[in-house]
Amino acid sequence: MRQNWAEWATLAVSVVAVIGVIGGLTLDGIFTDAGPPEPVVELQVDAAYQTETGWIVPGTVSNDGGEAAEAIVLRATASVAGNEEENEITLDYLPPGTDVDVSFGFSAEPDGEVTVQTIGFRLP
Amino acid sequence: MSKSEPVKPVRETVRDLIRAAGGGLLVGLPLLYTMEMWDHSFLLPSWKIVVLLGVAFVVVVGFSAVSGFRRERSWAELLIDSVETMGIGAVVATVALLLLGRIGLETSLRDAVGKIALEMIPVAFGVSLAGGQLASPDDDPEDAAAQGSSVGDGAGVGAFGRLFIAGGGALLFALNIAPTEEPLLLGVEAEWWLLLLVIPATLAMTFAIVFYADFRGGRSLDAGDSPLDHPLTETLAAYAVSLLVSLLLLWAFGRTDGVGLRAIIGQVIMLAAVASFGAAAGRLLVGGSQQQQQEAT
Repeated sequence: MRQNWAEWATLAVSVVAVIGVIGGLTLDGIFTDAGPPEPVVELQVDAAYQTETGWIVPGTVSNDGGEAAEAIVLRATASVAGNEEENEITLDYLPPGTDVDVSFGFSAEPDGEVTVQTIGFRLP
Repeated sequence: MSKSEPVKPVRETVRDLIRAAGGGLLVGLPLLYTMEMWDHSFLLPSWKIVVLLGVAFVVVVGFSAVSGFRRERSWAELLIDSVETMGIGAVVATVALLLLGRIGLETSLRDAVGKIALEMIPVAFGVSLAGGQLASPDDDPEDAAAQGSSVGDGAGVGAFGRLFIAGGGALLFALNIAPTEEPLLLGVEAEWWLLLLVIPATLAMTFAIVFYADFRGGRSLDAGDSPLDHPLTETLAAYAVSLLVSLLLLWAFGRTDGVGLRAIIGQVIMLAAVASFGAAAGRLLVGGSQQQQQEAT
């Protein structure tokens, strides 16, 4: 039996999908510089909000490096009502190029800037 | 391909595609719901994923070649069918990952492609099975003879073909376990004598499943002509294939990196126990002698 248009379409989509996946991975393997992980944190202080359990500062963590990081611990520090407050969060994984939404909590609105430090991570 | 040939109705093609997607999900869903599969998409280097895809493609080609759903095919047709199988696997995996919220706008392209590449492997195996095994025999009268008996008559599959299918079955089964952390724990924590017990237990059980337990597709204890066609040698060979497949998967998922030899051996033996059952199931699928097939129908 001769092929109908649906079979040709299936073949075309299949070829594109297979070439896309294998080609994408191959190009990535050849051209992407596999540098170490570089966690970058961007806080959205304007979007911070008060809750019953504290002042929440949302932010985004991304990885500008070439390799993924595992078990990343980040520490946020800020001065709240004259006292220095610290808190830590742990991310299971931070793949390169992917944004992870996080939030840091403080007892009240910080007086000044919130700084975030990478405490450490594991390499896969 | 003459003009007089009738065009296959689109309706039939659509039904084939739905069956392919259904079979793909049937086999692929457990791994679509496995966290380690999502994480390995970015933890593994690209080339390792490409190697895994290559192995999967060889298995799909081999399965299509052995399975009888369209026996008389040229190599080109076989390749086209296999590319389609992988392609449908990729599309189904993509849709499933989107619906499950595993890939989205915030996912990097590399991460998304990695996830699709890993998840399309079990889905493609399912698509392949749907083509060869799950198709209803009266689907297409022309193919019914070859299709009805499933991969069917063992006469068409030699000892090596059977071993190849055993490898495919081993890969399919072990793939469900290999990305998780359990084989590592089992392998590291097992005492040496426990490992030595697991080997004969695995061999005895897989031997019994294929040659004694009277499953459909099981075979008698009679030996064939080829040295591999003896129940004992075939069981041993299938176990060896299972060990190799286990080692390949553990290596691919980074479970052998920086791990001591003792722990690697432990992991391989523990995973091979699972792989062997897949190998046995695969051999049941390609079945026994023609006579036994006739008895079954």
